[in-house]
Amino acid sequence: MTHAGRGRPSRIAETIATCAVATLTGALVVAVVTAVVTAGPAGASLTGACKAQGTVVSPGKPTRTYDPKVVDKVTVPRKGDVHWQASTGVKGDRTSNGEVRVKFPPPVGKVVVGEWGKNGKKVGRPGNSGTYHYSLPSLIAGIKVPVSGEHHEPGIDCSGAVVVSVEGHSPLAWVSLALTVFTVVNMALVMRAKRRIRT
Amino acid sequence: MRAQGHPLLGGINGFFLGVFGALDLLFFGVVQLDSVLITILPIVGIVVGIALGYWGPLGRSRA
Repeated sequence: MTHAGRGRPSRIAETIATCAVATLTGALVVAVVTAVVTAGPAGASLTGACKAQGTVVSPGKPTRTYDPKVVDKVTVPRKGDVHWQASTGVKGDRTSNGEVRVKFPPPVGKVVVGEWGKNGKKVGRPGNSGTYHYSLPSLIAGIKVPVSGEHHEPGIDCSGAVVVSVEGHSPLAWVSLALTVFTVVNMALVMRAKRRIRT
Repeated sequence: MRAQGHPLLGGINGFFLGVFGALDLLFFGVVQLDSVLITILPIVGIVVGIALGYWGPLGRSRA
């Protein structure tokens, strides 16, 4: 069995240099791919004749009102009440329907989280309003969740999209970061050449 | 041509590296929940892990 090169300072320096180059290359690839994939247009999100507004009230936090005609990114407290109102301005009995979806990464895609009017029941009022209490787990804090929705009735088609994120960072973020470091170190071990027994 | 390192372990480790890397990007708000990177990174991790494991550049003896 040979021990050629083992323990030499040049071997340690070579190992460190290889790891550094691999790490820098990986970071560069991730940064470039992220910049390319996440680049997209920004702007108002609600289109059509619909009007909507939401006011988020949370204890100890400033009250904030959002208008989806001008806002397409929202950061909300983890728990609170949303006083919402929406209208099309049209009176008289008519059929209407719509849905709200959350987008997940492929291959899951869009998941419908709420819908209305699918039973064909007619409505007569020009708008609707209410208060919705929510309390979200801290595990999803910091995640940017794309939410989209649409509303249809005779002569009116509205659609909107907004990116919602909960204030703060998830405790899972630090766990994930620690596991990333662990797997990077483990990758260096996997990259080690097998020992060869020479006769 | 024989593998110099550990391609199977490299693939498994690369997969988890891709998964945790994608989760880091997600949890720290770098990418949105619908980003295709969350799907791609684990697959890229498997490929890169197998390649690095096959290559095995570290700790080679200078014969």
